[in-house]
Amino acid sequence: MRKHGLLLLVVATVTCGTLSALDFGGTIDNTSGYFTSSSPNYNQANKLALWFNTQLGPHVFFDAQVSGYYQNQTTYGGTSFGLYADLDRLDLRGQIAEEGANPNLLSFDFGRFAANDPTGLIYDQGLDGLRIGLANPYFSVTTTLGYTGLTIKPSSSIIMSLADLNGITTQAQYFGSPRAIGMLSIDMPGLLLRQDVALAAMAEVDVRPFMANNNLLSPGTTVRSPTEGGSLDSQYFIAKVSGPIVGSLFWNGAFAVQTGQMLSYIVADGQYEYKPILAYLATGGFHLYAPQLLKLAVGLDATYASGDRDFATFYEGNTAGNATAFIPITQKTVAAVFSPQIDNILTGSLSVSFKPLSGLKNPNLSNLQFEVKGIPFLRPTTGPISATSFLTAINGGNTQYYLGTEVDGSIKYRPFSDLGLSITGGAFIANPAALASSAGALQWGGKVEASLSL
Amino acid sequence: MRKIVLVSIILLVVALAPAFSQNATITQITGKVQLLAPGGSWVDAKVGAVVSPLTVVATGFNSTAVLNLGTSQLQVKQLTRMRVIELLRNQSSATTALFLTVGAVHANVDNNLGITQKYSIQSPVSTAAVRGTIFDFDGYSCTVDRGIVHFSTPAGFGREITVGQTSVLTSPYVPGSAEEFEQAQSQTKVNTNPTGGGTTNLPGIGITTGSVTVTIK
Repeated sequence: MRKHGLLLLVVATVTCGTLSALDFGGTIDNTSGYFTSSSPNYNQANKLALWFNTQLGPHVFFDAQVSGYYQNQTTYGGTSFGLYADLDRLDLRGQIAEEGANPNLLSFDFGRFAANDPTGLIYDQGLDGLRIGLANPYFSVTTTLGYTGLTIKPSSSIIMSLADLNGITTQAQYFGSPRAIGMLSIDMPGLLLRQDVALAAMAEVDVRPFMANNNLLSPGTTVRSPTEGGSLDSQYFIAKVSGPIVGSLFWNGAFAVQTGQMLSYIVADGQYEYKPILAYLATGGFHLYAPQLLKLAVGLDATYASGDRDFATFYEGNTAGNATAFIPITQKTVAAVFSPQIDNILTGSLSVSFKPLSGLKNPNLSNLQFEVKGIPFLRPTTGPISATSFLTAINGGNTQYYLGTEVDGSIKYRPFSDLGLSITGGAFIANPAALASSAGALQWGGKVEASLSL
Repeated sequence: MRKIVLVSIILLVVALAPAFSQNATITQITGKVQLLAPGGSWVDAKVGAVVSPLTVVATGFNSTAVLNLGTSQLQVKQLTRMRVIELLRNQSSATTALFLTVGAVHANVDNNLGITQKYSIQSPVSTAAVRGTIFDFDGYSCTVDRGIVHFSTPAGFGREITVGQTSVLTSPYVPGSAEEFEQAQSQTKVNTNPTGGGTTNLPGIGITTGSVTVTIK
């Protein structure tokens, strides 16, 4: 027993001795909301996160965060995810700078880390893998390789195909969509006229075809299945420019082309065939900041994601020719009540925020912030959109392009550095002509969020 | 031909004119300001005191000092310790190099003197280099009131900051963009996780995890 105690002491001493810096803590987050459009109407989600950061050497760091979740939602096909735990981050990272006349910076991440594309609309989620970056004063090149199939379902927002959707609703499946992700990006900060330029090429590969019992349909199948599909692989080529226009007026603009292949039931041929994907995404906006006027911020943004009018269903619904609906890898929340996927959507946003007490010297009051947003939604083609609830009529052959407009308001407050609070309310006023006859024209909801640092 | 030779000689003489070292002088003091000359000991500063190169200037709580650096003015803010590294001047250019150990300064570099200004303030984590401008600098952030500042990390990764803009060091690579700073100032962040871990999210009606409607066209 003494030997074990001594050994434990030696191990603890050596371990602590090698950790030149150690930082740890925790947070508790709660979100409680009521939405007329969801079932159940009342939702609550809680998260306890414990994080740990340390420096293992002059250039090497280690970050970890594990979270426990409790929520009342039952939207995972009967699988109980009321209480579960997940690793948010497990990242061994390093940064080695070579100073001098020709400085270079080599960086790497290995493990589970946050990853996103330059627009943040195509991929914005954790990833298990490796990221290596090499930078010089003119540009940086980053290569990312990873896998999404080790993220448990509630933490994954990847639903690109019917197989992904089946995974969500299959009780036995614990993890999210299994896809290999690769990205090569080049960032050129201040390239010309102080504008930042980013170029990226990204690919996702559905790994199900390499798995046994994958339940994928084969090309040539003549019987149409509403619930089964094939694999969906795609590539994205992205360009983004952002920077100042004059003073505190900024802009950004990005364009992405998606290529790939999708299993399609070609009505004219009466069978399933793999058809090419050729789709587009354009997004951009202008942002004006006036810190002297109660920290006023005004934003005008727009996003266009191409659609396909011959899609019969939202997932793998192509019935003729190329698939031209843009399919992002992860989903993005764009509004509080009505938040369709960035696919066959044309949406804008006019937002105004200010801090009415920013003139006060008391920092506990000056950060109180009010924000109002107006968000119109249209679809560029009469093809289906991802909303499934009261807008079902749209996916049933409705020819309306204008879907409706949402108005959101929020109040955010940080009374102390360790406590953050927000109240968000929203109302979606639908185009009556686009509605199912039984649905109400007004859908509304609201939520309260609290975040406490331990 | 003679004229060309004469002009060339004059230009050469001007270009090779010896740069001479200058001293700074203190023009204004509020509160407690001290100076530490090389090899000397701390002395209380007075208006008119000469600050030679390598002298350390330190200000106390609620104390400030204004230094005339010959071709520029420098306001040393409270609780600051900085060193004058180099003050050189010849007929065509002026070189000013300062090292900010801790604290903040407000610099006014005059670009109407008809000379080339090589002005830089270095801190342990960044450098601000300018040619005729007014700016605030505290090592981690740089705010520009006039002109353009090249704000960079010690490794040499930098970006240009213009009038009314602020840049903050957020990574060992390039300092953050001016919009990132404005966004951080205008938005109240609810998530208190210092590592940036996300808060929980509730789905709206568009977040689809439900059934699929099939319509055969």
